[in-house]
Amino acid sequence: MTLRYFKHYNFIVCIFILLSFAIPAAKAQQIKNISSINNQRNISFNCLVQANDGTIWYGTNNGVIKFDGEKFKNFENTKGLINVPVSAIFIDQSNLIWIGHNNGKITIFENEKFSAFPFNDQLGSAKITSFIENNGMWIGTYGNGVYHVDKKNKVNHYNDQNGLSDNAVYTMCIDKRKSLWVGTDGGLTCLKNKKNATELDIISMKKGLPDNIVRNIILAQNGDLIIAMQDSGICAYNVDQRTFKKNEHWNYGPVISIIEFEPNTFYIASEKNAIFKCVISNDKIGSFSRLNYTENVDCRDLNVFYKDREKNLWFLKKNGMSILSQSRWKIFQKNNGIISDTILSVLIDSKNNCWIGSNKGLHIYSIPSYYEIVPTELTVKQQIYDKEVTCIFEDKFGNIWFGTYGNGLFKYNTKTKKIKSIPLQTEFENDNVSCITVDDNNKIWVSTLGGGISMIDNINASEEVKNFSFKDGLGVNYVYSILCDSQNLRWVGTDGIGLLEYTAGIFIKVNEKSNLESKSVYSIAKSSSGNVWFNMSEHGLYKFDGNSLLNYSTLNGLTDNNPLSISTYKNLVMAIHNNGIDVFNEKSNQFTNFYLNDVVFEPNLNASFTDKKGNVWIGTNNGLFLFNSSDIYTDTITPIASFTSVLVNNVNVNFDSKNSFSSSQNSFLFNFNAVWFKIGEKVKFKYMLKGVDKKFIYSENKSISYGGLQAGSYTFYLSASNGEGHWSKPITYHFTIAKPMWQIWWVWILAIAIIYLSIHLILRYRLNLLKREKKILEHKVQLRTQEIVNQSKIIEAKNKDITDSIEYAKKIQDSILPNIEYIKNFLPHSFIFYKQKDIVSGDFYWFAVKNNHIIFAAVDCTGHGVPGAFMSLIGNNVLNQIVNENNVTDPATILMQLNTGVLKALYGSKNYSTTKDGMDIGICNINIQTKNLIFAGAMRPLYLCREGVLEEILGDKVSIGTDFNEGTHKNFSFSNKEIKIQDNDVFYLSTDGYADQFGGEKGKKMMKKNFKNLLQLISNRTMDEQAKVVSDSLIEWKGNFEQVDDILVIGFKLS
Amino acid sequence: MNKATTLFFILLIAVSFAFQSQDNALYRTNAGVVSFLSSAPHEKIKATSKKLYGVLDPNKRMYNFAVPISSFEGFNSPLQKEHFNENYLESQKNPKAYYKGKIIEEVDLKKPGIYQVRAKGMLTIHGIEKECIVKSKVVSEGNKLNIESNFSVLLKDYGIKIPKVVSQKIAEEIAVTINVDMVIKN
Repeated sequence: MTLRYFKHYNFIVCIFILLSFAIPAAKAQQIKNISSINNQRNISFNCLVQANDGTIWYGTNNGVIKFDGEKFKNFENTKGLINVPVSAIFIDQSNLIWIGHNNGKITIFENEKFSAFPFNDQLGSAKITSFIENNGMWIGTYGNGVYHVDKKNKVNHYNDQNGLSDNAVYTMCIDKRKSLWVGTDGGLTCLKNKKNATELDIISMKKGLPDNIVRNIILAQNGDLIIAMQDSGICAYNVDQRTFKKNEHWNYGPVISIIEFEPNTFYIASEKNAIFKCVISNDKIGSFSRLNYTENVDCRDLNVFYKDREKNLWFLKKNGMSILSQSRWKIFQKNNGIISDTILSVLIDSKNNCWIGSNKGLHIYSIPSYYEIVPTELTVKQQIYDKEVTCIFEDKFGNIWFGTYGNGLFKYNTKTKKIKSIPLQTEFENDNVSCITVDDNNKIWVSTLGGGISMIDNINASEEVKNFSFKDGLGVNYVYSILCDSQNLRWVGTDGIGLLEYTAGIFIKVNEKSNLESKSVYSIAKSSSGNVWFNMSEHGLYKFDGNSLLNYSTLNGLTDNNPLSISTYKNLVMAIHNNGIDVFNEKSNQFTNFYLNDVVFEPNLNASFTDKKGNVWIGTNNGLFLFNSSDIYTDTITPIASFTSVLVNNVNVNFDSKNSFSSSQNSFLFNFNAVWFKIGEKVKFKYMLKGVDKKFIYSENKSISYGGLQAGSYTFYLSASNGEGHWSKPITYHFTIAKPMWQIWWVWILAIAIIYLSIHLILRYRLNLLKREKKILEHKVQLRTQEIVNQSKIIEAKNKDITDSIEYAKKIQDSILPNIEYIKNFLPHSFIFYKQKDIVSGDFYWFAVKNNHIIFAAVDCTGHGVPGAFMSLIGNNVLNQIVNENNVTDPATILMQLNTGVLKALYGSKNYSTTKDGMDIGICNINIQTKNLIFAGAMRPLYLCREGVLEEILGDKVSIGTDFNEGTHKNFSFSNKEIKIQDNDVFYLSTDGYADQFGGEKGKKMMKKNFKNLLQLISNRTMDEQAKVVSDSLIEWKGNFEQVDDILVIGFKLS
Repeated sequence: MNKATTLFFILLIAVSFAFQSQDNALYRTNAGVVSFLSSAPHEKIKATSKKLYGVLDPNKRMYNFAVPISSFEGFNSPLQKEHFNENYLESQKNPKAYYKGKIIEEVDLKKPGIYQVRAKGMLTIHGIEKECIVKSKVVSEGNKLNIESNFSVLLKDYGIKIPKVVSQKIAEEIAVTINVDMVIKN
């Protein structure tokens, strides 16, 4: 850091000639010019009125136009206007819109429809100029005087023949006593209601009115009538004292309109393309000054000048219109006339001069109005033109102190007009002044970047300086800001060690308690509530209430954590950063953010000053900015929120009347708007659907949808904000969604009753049906039963016949079977277990004795029952023929001949190659002398049990009935197996019936293996016992199963 | 009734008639002077008519004046006059200009004096009617009035179109001067 000494203190006060030009603020106002609407150009706007919902209705030469701040809507004659040019428009208390036309007729707009005024035929043809409501409707015309439509719809006419000052009526106004004032070409006429009669009183030039042509009358807030005239400017009329206040001089042409912008402050539009400002006090009309902030508005061909509820100014012209909004921001830049765009410090002194410290020295401007500053006497010599003035301060004597970067401290004596340098004489010889302040003892405190703090005795001429540096307990020599308060406490914002409090000669770190060491404090300010506010880099704002620190950052409303300056005004704390200003209200504990979106801001460190009116002057690298904070929390005008449409299940509903919906109508879309004409300030919404949302939802969107709403009662709340923290009173839409039928108790009861009744009826019907069917069935069953009984009888008879036949056949079969006793004569040790499946059997045993040979066979014919029995007869016959007649005893031969005999018996000479009829047979030839046994078998074995071991002697695998002449068994011959019989040898022949019988626990076949085990088990018993066991075992095995085949088991032994 | 009485009544009636007629009397003229001056960059055109006629009711402060268009004389050439009548003012179609209205100020013009008044009325030129306020100086001698007025007229307000080729010769705004002597007549 370079230290610069300023050796030459010879400042010369240079008095510049007061420059005649003023520097207007840029962006002080915002103008919106509208020259075409919905593709219509050069529209002549003749009149307007603002409705309760904030929308503005214009009367134009092209009909009526409605503007909601966003869209224009045209109403022309095609929509029902009785005449297109509209000369007057008015909205009465019942929201009827009265539209007056050039042809003297009136259209009424009600419920979105136009209709002709019912008493148009009683009106003349002179242009309607004005409406006003006062015990009925008053209609002013330009040529036919005034009509009054009273509440009984009686039309009364007042003109110059019955007391009106003139028939050319420009304007009407109601005074504070509810008397009507009419402005005409012949002066004023006051119409008072007196006992069912109207008293007319003319006040014209004879009675002191300055001009008879009265163009406009308004009721001022103080109760006076302010009268605008053709050639005499304005005057104020006191209706109580009947006195005039007149302007002394008016040379600005005919007055078109007058508005009271603020109490006692009036704006006057004249035909000379200008708007004038005038203050009317209790005793006089002040001078007229051209309203500079309207000078950019083209006022030529002005028809109407109007102030809306937002205090926007409307200029209705013959070829368009303009809207003028004031901005909170004003900008003074080099190209507007100030010395530099790099403003490092600013001060508004006690004489309302604006001191600007820039990179080009110190300059002074006067402030004639809020919208302009005027260069004035520049008091410093060329030598400090290029010095950077970093801070400016006015002491209690009116002296201006200013500090420079590198050139030390200066004092300007406003009385002697002299500047002198105050050497700080710091230990480090540092002249980088960062901040100047004063304490209650009139001691000037100066902070420097590098030289610590200096205290200057401002009372004594010696101006003794005392320094505080690192070694004096300051802890750091770089100090950004200092602040003295009423208790003479000094707050010190340092570079690197945070905020210090200087009390009783000691510097104490405030932030030690909060672990905020090693931080830089750039700005310090104290609010009206006594809190000390300071900022820290990257940490936003801190509030110190004397005990504790509270941090405010982007987490709780601040938009930038690097404020470059802090200003306070009453209970407002303003943090200035690169994006704009965040204003914190200590009462509401809320931030409001004011952005500068379209302008480069770049405020300089601590280059701000708040004047007595709450205007914050901010030095930036882009000029001098002025922010008006005075009415942030008193200007509570808010946008007027309104519903534009409500859609239920995508169908538009009339939300004024329709608020009950069925359960299926549960999808809602709310479209809304807020009329807000101020340009550049965004409208925000907050809404809540009570019943769904638990708190307000904030949004900038103009619609919100809710789907799938349950049955119930809902209220939609909507409020709009002006962007400065003020919210409109919520508007509501209450609606109910009915429960679905299934949720209604009586529907349940009804449904149950209906279901019960239905079931009952169905059952009853069904029962009757069943009874009827049952009767039919019973009849059918009876018939069928009789039929069955008859058939059964027939079958029974036939069955008996068959059974009898079979029984007889059994006798025949039994007769062919050898007698058991006969067999036992030759084989005393034998048994035959023979159990047919049916009455007659396919199995049979055959026995013959030839000499010493006993021929014994067990035969199993194909099938069982009658077919088997027949086959057994064939077999028996053939065997008898072979053995008994032909004396063949060789078993194999017997079988060969049996095969031939059976085939012959069954088929004769027919082809029997494919026959499956036949029989299985096991046959033995027992030579009782040699005790030899020859066995031959066709598919049946012989079981020999010798010494307790059962041996199976297999027969051939060919059945009797097989063709041996052809096929696979061509030339086949049965074979014999010869066995030498030993003592106690037991032989068994059997058919397959026993082993194939189903039974046992699992209902399976017994199988040959078990059969053989059985035989082996019983072989040592007597033949009678064996017969019994074989029989019992079968019964036991079979259980309840049916016998599946005929069963034959033969057992025998020789000794 | 003697002669004196009869004479008194005759005089009384005569005086009352005389006064009555004085109350209802109107100021009239038929030789008022109207001049206009067009000051264009390339040419000045001046014409005067001395045939302005009209009537003024001093009680109602109403007036009605007219002037035949073709009565204007002067101009810089006969052709100019011809164009004035045929092309611009179309005097055959709209043979007269009228000015009918009311004096705003509540003055008694029958009372001798000098009055500054504003006449507000409908000025009809070229068949087009337009409201016009004319400031005038009225010098009253009781039975006589002299009215002096100066005002300007925008040609476009009255549908008088000037071809571009002569736009440097004919001004858009025409200065009009009126000087009328009026005499009270029943």
